[in-house]
Amino acid sequence: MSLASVAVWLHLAAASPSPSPSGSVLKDQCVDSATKQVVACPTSNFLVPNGTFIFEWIVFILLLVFLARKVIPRIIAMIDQRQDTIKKQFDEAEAARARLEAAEREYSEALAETRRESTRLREQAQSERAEIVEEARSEAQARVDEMLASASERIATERQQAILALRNEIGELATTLAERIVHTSLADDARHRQLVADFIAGVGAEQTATAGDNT
Amino acid sequence: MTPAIVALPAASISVGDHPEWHFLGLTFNVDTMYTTVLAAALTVGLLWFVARKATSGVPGRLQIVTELVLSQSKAYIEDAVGHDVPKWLVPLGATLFFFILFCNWLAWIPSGHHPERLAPPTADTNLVYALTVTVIILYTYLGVKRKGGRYVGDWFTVKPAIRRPILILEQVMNPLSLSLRLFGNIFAGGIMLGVIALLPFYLFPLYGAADFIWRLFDSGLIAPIQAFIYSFLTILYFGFATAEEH
Repeated sequence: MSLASVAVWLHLAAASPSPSPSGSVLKDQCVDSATKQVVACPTSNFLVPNGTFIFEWIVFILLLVFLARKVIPRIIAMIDQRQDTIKKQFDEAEAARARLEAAEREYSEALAETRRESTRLREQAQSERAEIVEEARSEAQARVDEMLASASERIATERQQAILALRNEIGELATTLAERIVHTSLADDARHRQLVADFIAGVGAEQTATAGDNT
Repeated sequence: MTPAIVALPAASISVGDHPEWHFLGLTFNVDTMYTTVLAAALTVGLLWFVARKATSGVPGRLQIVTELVLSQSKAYIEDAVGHDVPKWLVPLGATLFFFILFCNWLAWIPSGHHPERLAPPTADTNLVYALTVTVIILYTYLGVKRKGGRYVGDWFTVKPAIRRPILILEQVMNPLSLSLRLFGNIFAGGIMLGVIALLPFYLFPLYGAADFIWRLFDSGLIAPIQAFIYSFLTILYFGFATAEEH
């Protein structure tokens, strides 16, 4: 089917009224609009320009000049303006980003500084606390020592005083005892022993009473 | 001959056949002239609309497309020409792109007579030659301004000597091939529509689909690609003209 149609096309193309071999179309006669005269139509070859060329050239030059002067510069200016705007916005965004980075850096620096400061303060507080505790402890210790020292001193003094008092009393008692022995009959051995025992008991009671007075 | 062949003579393929107007001994292709004016008006309309509505805030879709073309041609030009880009060069690249694109897209607009849709003016060599002559004049001007006498002097002193005739030929061949490429592509698109119209009657249901698909391909792909190639190569030639070593 398709081969047949191609064959028909080729046949038609050969049979259709085609231009002369040079590609020109001859017309019988033409009328010149300027002179109103009938003239022989020039042979035209489609590769050779004719008067149309002048018209086309003028139209294109007018088009080019008009567009190049009045229209296209406006569009180009708009493009440039937009590019400027975009560039400006980009620059602004860049500046904002730089500012943000600086602020973040500043913030983290401040944070780190704060952390360092708080650590330092904590350490300081801890060392101060340790110092205070140590001081209080040593003070208390000193006091305890002092109290112990004064107590033992006082005990020693009192002991000394007691010894002195006993010594004095023993002398007196010895004298009293001798007096009683002399005044009492020494015939009764049992009675003698009782006397000594009473005496000693009496000395013990006196000593206790003396010690109670001294304290 | 079958009836189908007789019924389709209107779809025959013709080359360089235009309604003509004769004035002062010159021939003017009337269809090319009004389609050129129409494409120019559409180009001005689009860019004017974008320039009026343009905002430096969030752009609309048309503004995005226009700005894309402008900033791309600016980037290519700065790449090719380097320092001191003349301020008309970016507008030239963008104007060429949009103007050629609209010329190519005119093939969608119904004409109201035979052929049923407008013929793109880029399918007429007169327009592409006009564009090319403008481009040649401007890049020669920029080259001479940059390099002075050396612009022409290089043609005769460049080494190895075998490059000299090639260099001189390039001055004409580069822009000529540029314009003929554009012409050929758009013109071939028209011929393709003619060929599709020649489908025999028993394949008639295919005609609509084939015509539509080809138009979509032609306008969606070929038209923008050709507009891009033309403006991109123009910028490259400006680069060649200003390059220190040819």
